[in-house]
Amino acid sequence: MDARRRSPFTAAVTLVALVFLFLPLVLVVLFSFHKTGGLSFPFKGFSLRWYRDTFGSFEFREALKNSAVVAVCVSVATLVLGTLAAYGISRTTSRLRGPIGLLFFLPITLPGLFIGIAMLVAFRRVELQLSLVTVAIAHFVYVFPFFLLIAKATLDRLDPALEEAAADLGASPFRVFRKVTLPQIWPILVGATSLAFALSFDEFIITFFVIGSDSTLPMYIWSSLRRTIDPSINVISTMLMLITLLLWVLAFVFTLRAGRGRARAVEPILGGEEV
Amino acid sequence: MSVVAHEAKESAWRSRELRLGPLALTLPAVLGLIVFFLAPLAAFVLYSFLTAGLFSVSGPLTLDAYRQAVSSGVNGTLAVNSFVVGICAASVTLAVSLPIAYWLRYAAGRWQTLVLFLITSTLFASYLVRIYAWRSILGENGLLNSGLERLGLIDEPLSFLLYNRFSVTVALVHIFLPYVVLVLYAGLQPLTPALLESAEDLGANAWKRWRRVILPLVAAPAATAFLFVFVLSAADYVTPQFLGGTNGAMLGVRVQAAMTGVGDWPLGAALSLLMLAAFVLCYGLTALGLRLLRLDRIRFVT
Amino acid sequence: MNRYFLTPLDRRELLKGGLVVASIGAVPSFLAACGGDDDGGEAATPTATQAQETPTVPEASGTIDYLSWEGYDVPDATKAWRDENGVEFKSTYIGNHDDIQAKIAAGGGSYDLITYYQGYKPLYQELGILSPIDVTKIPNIENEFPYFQSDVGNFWIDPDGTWTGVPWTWGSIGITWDDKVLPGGLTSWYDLLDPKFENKIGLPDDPVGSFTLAAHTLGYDPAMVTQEQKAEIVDLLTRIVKHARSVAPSFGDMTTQLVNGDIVACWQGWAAMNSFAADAGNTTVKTIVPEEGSFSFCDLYAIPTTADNVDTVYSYLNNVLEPEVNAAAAEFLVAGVTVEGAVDFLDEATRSLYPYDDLEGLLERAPFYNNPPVESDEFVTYQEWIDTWQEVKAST
Repeated sequence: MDARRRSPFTAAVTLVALVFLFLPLVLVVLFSFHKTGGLSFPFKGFSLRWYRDTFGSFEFREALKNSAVVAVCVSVATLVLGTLAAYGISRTTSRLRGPIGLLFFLPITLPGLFIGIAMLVAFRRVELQLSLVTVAIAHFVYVFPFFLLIAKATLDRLDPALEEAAADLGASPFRVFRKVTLPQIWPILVGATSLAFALSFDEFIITFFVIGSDSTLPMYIWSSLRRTIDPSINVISTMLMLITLLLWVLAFVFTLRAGRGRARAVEPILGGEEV
Repeated sequence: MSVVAHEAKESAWRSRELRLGPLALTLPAVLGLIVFFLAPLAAFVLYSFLTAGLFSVSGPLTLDAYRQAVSSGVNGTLAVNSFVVGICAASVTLAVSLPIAYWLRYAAGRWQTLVLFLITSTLFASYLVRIYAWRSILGENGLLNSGLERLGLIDEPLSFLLYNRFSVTVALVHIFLPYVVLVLYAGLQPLTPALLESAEDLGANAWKRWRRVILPLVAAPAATAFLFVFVLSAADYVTPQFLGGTNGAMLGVRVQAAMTGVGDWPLGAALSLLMLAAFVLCYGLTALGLRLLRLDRIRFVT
Repeated sequence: MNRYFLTPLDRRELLKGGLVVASIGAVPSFLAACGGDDDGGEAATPTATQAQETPTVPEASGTIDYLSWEGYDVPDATKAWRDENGVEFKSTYIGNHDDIQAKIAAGGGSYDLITYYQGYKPLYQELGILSPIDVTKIPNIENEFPYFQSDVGNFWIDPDGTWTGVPWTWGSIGITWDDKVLPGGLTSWYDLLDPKFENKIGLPDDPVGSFTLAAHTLGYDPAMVTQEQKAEIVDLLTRIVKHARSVAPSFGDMTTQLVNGDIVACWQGWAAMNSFAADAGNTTVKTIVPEEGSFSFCDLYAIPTTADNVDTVYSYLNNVLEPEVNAAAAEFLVAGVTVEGAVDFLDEATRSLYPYDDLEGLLERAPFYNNPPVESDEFVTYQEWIDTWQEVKAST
């Protein structure tokens, strides 16, 4: 590790930033336990009533279920198509590599507002009814570039010599992928998929335009926001934060593991086992 | 012999495969994006040139929507507002992120992983949640005002904290800070202290080290991050509605209202495309600027 | 000078499950219709003949796909009916009235039940959203006040006698304020423009409502506004917006601002806000209809053309017009009842909201109006006003 430099200024800024980042979130969680219906100080005591109310709410459970279903579908699609695409684009030498890479990257550069309305217009044009399906499609477009960037970066960093060696030994490309590439990258793929899930689960800006009569959790929060706010919205937010936090922990841990695990994953190959 | 033939066949196929095969793997994704992303964008561009009905479009191609978008004085004000908010949000975020990225890279030591995790874990906080959370901090009876009053620092609550551009900017900074920190931190990775030392050893003074080594490495990620925050902030349509008041109104809200409220899709499309054109211009200018300043790639001390 | 005061509500235990009903609306000039059409008071009852056929309520089952304001699916008031028939509600809640036509026009979902604010009737008919309602399947329609069975203003009954909506709830707009901060309140809309309220008033992002209210305050009919009159309306509203803290995205949000102390009084306030505020801990919020009067809204249940569970909807509508259910709904929504017998079932607080012994008097000061027309050469159109509102809203 490089030698550590002292820098009180930047340390202070970091600390202030951490407080800045966490303060609103802590308040949200705090007030989800509020005994009364208010959302401003003074804090009047703890209670679980809002949690009871929220979990008893049919709409909430529906929204939660819908968000989960959409996120799962989107994650699976992203994992499969994204891994294929990342592998394809990092291993090819074709000139199409540039334009295709640009295509893949493009959705990130566009604000959700544009993607949302463009898809709304398109769905209407082909008379596809707005529903969770259209939401899933929109989420896929939004999430794909994130997954691809991570997967591609990982694949680019792999040592090509290992794959070449395996190929030289007669392994089919599929086998090379399965026995050499995959063991090295699978933790990152899990992490990236987890991120994809979290991104889809929390997506609002695009969903707002393409959703039909079903509700997702962020949409549910949105409609709650339009009411006089009471702590039940804090409860929902806390739940949402917890779920995405868990996913992030998962992603983080797996990505960290990837660094350490890579060496171990390729041992069997170097050790001369049959490929 | 069969073994040799087999090997030869395998190699031939492999060498061909390395050129064509991998590309084929991208096909499903490419098709998906063309159908669900490019085609909608094309439809969307088309719509901006059509005549508006109530939640429907018709007929002859026309520039009416664009004319309407451009001729309204209010749109101009909103555009300026959006621009200002975007610049402020991007500037503040970048200014705050640089020290943080620096600390994480060079001064964090064993705290690095934890703080990195903490910062990025705030990404998990829902976008909508943050927005209304800031209301309970910045409002008349919010955390800040109550706290300041209790400390005796103010007599009357500060009303300039909320429902204006300031609160919108604060919320946007809150949203984008983790991203920018990550991007800058990644950008600083190649810049090891050893690198700086060797630059020093090779005779570069502080200014040269900054100009030739640090800046080029940081410039591209920093510019990218700045643009990212600017574009996404300027196009935001939720934050202004809840935190903007009458002072912080932004163009994105107008677009959203055109699409889902009024049903004037050509107008919505036209406004969006004009915004998009402005953003593309910004991207282009930045890329050009970086290239002109020779900051688009790393040139080592020579 | 006559004044109608909406008496302050006691703290009420609002059943959870739906607080905000940001009912917006242009209420057509029922008064004008009354005066202009036949005679005052007596209105045609085209349904009389229909209702003489043996009324049969269809059987209910399955799910009702509901699209409208949260709370307008009155879950608790209709709980008995739902349980008895095993009906589930799949509800999509809107943020503003235009969401209804937006969602249907954009092709989303197969909604069975919507509401419309009666000013929206011509627009919705033009969009082809409303399907005719066969009131022979709703025997309880006879429970309604005669007024709500008449075709005044053609809000729920077409000139040819076809029903397009079922009135079940209504209310009047007024100034809402926090009495603790502003004891005694305000008596005129123009009081809101007092310099001491700079940056302290609120208004909802409701183009139609603001327009109707401004038109009424200036003495005009929102359905017949000339360009000159429009300029006056724009001027008034611009002054209000500039004076305001923010244009709230919803009534619920405006209530939150009031409760948080960010604003002290509201343009286009509403009695239900008193309840919302009480629930959020502030029991001193009040609403009155000021001296210039205001406008009233009547929301009607309607069956969209996309409906596929129509029988169940008929059964539901019939249930809502039961006196007890109508009263329960009104208490929940802090609104008025349309069923005559329901008044007896109202609790004191809700009954005292509106003078049921002289509804006409109230509706004279706060009439039902029509929305601006969909198309017109001489008057301001709906689309035109919606666009103009975006500009007014953004004035700083």
